[in-house]
Amino acid sequence: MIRIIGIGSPFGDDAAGLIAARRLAAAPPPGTEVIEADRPGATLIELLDGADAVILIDAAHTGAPPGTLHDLDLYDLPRNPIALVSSHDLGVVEALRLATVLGRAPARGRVLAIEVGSLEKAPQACSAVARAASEYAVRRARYWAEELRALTVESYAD
Amino acid sequence: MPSSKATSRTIHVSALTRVEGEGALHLAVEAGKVVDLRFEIFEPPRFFEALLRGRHAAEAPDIAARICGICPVAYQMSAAHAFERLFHVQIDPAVRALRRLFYCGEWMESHALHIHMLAAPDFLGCESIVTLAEKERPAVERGLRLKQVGNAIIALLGGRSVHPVGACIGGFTRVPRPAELAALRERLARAHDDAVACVRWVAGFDLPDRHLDIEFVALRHPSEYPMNEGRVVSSKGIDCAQEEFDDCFEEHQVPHSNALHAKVKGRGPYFLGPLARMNLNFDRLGPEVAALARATGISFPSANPYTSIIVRALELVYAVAEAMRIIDAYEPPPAPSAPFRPRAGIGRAITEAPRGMLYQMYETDERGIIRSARIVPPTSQNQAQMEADLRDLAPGLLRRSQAEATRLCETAIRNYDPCISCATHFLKLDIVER
Repeated sequence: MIRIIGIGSPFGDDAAGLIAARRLAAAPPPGTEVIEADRPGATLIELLDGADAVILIDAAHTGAPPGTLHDLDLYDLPRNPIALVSSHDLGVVEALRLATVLGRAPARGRVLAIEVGSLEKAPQACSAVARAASEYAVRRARYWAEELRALTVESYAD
Repeated sequence: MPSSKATSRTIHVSALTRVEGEGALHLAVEAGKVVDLRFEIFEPPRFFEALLRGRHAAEAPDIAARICGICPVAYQMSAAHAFERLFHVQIDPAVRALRRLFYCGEWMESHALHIHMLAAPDFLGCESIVTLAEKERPAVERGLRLKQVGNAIIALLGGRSVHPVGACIGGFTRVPRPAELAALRERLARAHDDAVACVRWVAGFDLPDRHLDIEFVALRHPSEYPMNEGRVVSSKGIDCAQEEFDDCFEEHQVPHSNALHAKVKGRGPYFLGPLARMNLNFDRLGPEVAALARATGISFPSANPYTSIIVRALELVYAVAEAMRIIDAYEPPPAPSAPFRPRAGIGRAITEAPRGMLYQMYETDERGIIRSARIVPPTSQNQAQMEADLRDLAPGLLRRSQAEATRLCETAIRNYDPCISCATHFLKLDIVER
């Protein structure tokens, strides 16, 4: 099973991951479970339990134009200078590394990170971020869900 | 390195990843004396106070819960109690007990996280939880188990563990079935052993021995260890009703921070959180936890902030035992919530968030529409005390390396468990020697 986890606080651009997850939850890709995780912190480790693969969708702050979609392998994340902004309590990277040390991380996964325009709290995400989340990230998540599902089936066949 | 000449030393530290908060500490030293110290944190609740205006009272518990991903129960509880007081809502005793259970879940979740993931690495010479997990895997797994049981309580009563939505004015939107509580009860029995083991583990840590002149403030209930109810008391003589909070405490703006600083009127900073609760309510812990506390060798009241990690572990045991007691005595209430009729006025409530008293005040019109809201989180109340603590620590930092000075500051700040949303990504430490 592939778990898609949207991460973020519900306000302003930080909501990008939640916006994408909500859209995906309305029509989940086959073989996936979609979770809107708010700011899970160390609870992310529990959310990874039992998943063959995972797609994390979060907000990022790297200085790229707002709405830019970063798409990277889950296990490239700790080596990547990308700063995920919703890394409250235990950060996403730290939670992932901890899950790996404890043998609780899935074999594979992707991180889709949406570049924010502002870190200020606001009632809504700005239009560029909202569009990237609800369209580009959703499309990309559907693509990866299919790819990861194929890989998971293959590894079972081995 | 400090030099004998008049030099300026600036230390930039992108650390404090384990205290959530856009924190910055600026320290200026002249002839070995601290002449200026400013600790800055970002504080988002002001945004929520504005957001709440014009909303209906019934929406407030859910909106307030969104302030913090770690202590949403506290935000829901203070909001619900404030409106219940204002609207004269009578709470069924079973609902009252369930709310206490809800809070036990949050204390467990938050304390287990803080002890194992955030604070323990400081005392065991590990740079992070990942290093600690490599060294002490069973302890870290135990911490995650404890946290998970806390989350399960929150998920049962709140509908989900992250950003729960179950509490409302008058009670809950749904109450658990006895079978659901029975499943939880089994997990709590194991959690109890884990929590006791956790106390023994942290009691063996080599904690700094630094005693400060502190005014501790916490709620105090006539018979219970405080969570949702009680008078406000302090170690220097305050004893007031929750409604009198503003008569005893004041918030004031400081130029260097967008968070308000709080102090006891006519005095100074005060200290909130587990250590304050235990110092002021040791006689409410019950015999089991009191005996465990004595066995740690610390005598309470303790004025050493570093003992906070042990107190969190003791409160973990308390919360697990209290949760089992509540489940054992549970009889479902006749209705999940009591109805309420809005009225115009002001409602106030304080409850004990994992990191200390959380005060909320709402003014409504006769339809229950919120005209003004005030939210005073524990982290902002602790901020002046954190500065006082750092000021005491500062002279000893100058002989230290940059890395060591930062570690000492982080450890001291972490004793207060500054709240996630009330704090974020790193501390920037500037030390300037003049």
